[in-house]
Amino acid sequence: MNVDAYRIDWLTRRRYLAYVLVTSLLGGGIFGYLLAGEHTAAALATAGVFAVLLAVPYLLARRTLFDERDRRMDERAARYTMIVVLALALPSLAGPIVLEQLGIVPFQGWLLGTGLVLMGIVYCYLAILAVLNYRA
Amino acid sequence: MLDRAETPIGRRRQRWKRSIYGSFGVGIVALLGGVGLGFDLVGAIGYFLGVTVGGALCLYACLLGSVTISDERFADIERRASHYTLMGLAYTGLATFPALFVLEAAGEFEFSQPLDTVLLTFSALFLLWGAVYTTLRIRS
Repeated sequence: MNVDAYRIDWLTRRRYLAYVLVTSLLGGGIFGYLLAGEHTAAALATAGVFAVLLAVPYLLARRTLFDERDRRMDERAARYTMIVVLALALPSLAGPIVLEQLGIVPFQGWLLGTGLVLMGIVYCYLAILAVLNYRA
Repeated sequence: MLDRAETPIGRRRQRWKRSIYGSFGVGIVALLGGVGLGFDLVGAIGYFLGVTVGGALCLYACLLGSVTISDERFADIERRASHYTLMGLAYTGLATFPALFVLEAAGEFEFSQPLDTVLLTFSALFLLWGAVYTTLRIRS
């Protein structure tokens, strides 16, 4: 196996994720140790190391990390996740208001907050959907 | 082309789509109007009714009726839109929350209750995505 083939073979998705995890933990640990007490500087340095290490395999790779099958699976997973979000958004938004107004349970602020976040996600999704539909 | 509005099937399909989107729209307007005018309960009930009717029409058309309101092209657009939405949220979250953690550690920022809710909701969302993705991976 020559160097190029080895490089391509090495760069599978799982190994890449493990590489990012290990190097970021190591980088974070080293910088945290060196800059003990300076939390902001240590965290910024760690973020910098993390970003550089994240980019290195991309720069070295001769082919893309994720193939068509990965992309399709990503999209399917996102679709199923979004179905759950769509199903939960309405009950968690309208539920606390209705239940509180009817005097069944006290006002559940966290549930309304979750509902608002989910509805925000739904509206983002609908806006992107409209744009894609318009462009198609 | 059966999808075109000029054909009877196309017109029927458009009517169904208008009914479904109209129901959702009425519900949203009812909620915004109700909250704006101080009638929270009325708005919430209007929203609930509008979306429930829209959802019921959608389910009927998809599962029981003979109307096809969605095709492979639209399903592909939905998948892409979901992917872009989650990707945007992931990048936004990854770019924002670590910086907030750093600022909090430096004592220059404090997580509020609403922001905690956002963080927890994002975490739950991506844990769910991870579970779905892992399931799909194992099954493929």
